[in-house]
Amino acid sequence: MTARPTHLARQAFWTLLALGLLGGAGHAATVQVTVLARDGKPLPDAVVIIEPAQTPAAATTPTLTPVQTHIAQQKMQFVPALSVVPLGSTVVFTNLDGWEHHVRGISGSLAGVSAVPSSGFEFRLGGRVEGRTAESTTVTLSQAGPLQLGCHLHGSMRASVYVADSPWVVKTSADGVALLPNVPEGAARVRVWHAEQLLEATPTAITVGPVTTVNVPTRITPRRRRL
Amino acid sequence: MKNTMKTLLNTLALSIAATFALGSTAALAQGKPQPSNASAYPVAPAPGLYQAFGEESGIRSLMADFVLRLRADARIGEQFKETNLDNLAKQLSDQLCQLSGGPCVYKGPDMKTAHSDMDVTRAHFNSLVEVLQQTMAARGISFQRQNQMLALLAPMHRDVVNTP
Repeated sequence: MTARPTHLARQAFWTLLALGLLGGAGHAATVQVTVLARDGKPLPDAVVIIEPAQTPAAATTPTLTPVQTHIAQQKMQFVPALSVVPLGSTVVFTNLDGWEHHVRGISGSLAGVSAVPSSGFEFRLGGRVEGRTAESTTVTLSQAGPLQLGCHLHGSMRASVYVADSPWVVKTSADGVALLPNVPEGAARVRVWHAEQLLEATPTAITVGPVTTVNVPTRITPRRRRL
Repeated sequence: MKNTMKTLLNTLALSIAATFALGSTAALAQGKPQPSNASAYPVAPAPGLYQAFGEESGIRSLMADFVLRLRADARIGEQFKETNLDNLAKQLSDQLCQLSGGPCVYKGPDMKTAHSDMDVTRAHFNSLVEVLQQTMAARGISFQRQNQMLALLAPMHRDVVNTP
């Protein structure tokens, strides 16, 4: 009678070990994602989101620490054009131009279409006067997902902030590459968000192993910015 | 045929404008206009130009009409699809008021920066000049005064046209 629990325990031990070896459960890897534009060229300023199939144990998930980031309005552009920040972060908007700008923030992918008055903000920043500090306003981001920025006065001014509620959200660099560290090994989905994308494409299924590199082709054509 | 005529007229107007621009450099001694965001190529305005346009209020109503015509224009209307027309009319009014010798101060971006997010061709620029001519004509501004105003704006093509 006493042998049976011992047997069960031994079986459980071997099962867990096998799972650990096969699925790499508990291990974390760095995933390199290259996002490609419609023309096959690397796509900068795309947001790469990795969603592990199984919610990893809280202990192994890197914690999200809110940060303070800055977005300037300079020479008729928002700089930078895309920011990725953890949920709860603050953004300081500063108008460095000598003329007035507005900042309008709308949560959701399609600014204007999905506009809900309560889900955004709008304020005015006066032009910079020589010898004085540039006008700025701080906003706290308490809603996860994309936030589209615009200027009420200058329709061509656009930018976005992606508010991340997981640690596995990174924007692609100038060479279209996003490096995501500490991703749990095993099955996962890769999603791509981009400001010029009207509809989000079907996520790419991947298996995260010790060395994982993925190419994600998209139908996105980035807007040309003249600097 | 109609288009050819229009282009010819337009070219003529720009040439006249350019001649005026050159002519008035001789009059620089009076009030030397400085480069500003309103124009990187300042030209002394013809005497009485600001008054001929009905001063500030005249210029403001002219520009209010102008931006509506721009938006409705088949050739360049698309360029103003996302434009805040009220703001554009205000900026243009301040700019033309200042350049024509009025007391306004244009506080907007310089012309290169203002057009940096648009693709503006020579054809776009000429179309805009044409729409401006129509707007001025509709308000009964004489051909001579129209060209004096265009003389202040014509040199800006160097900063506005950014696409071959």
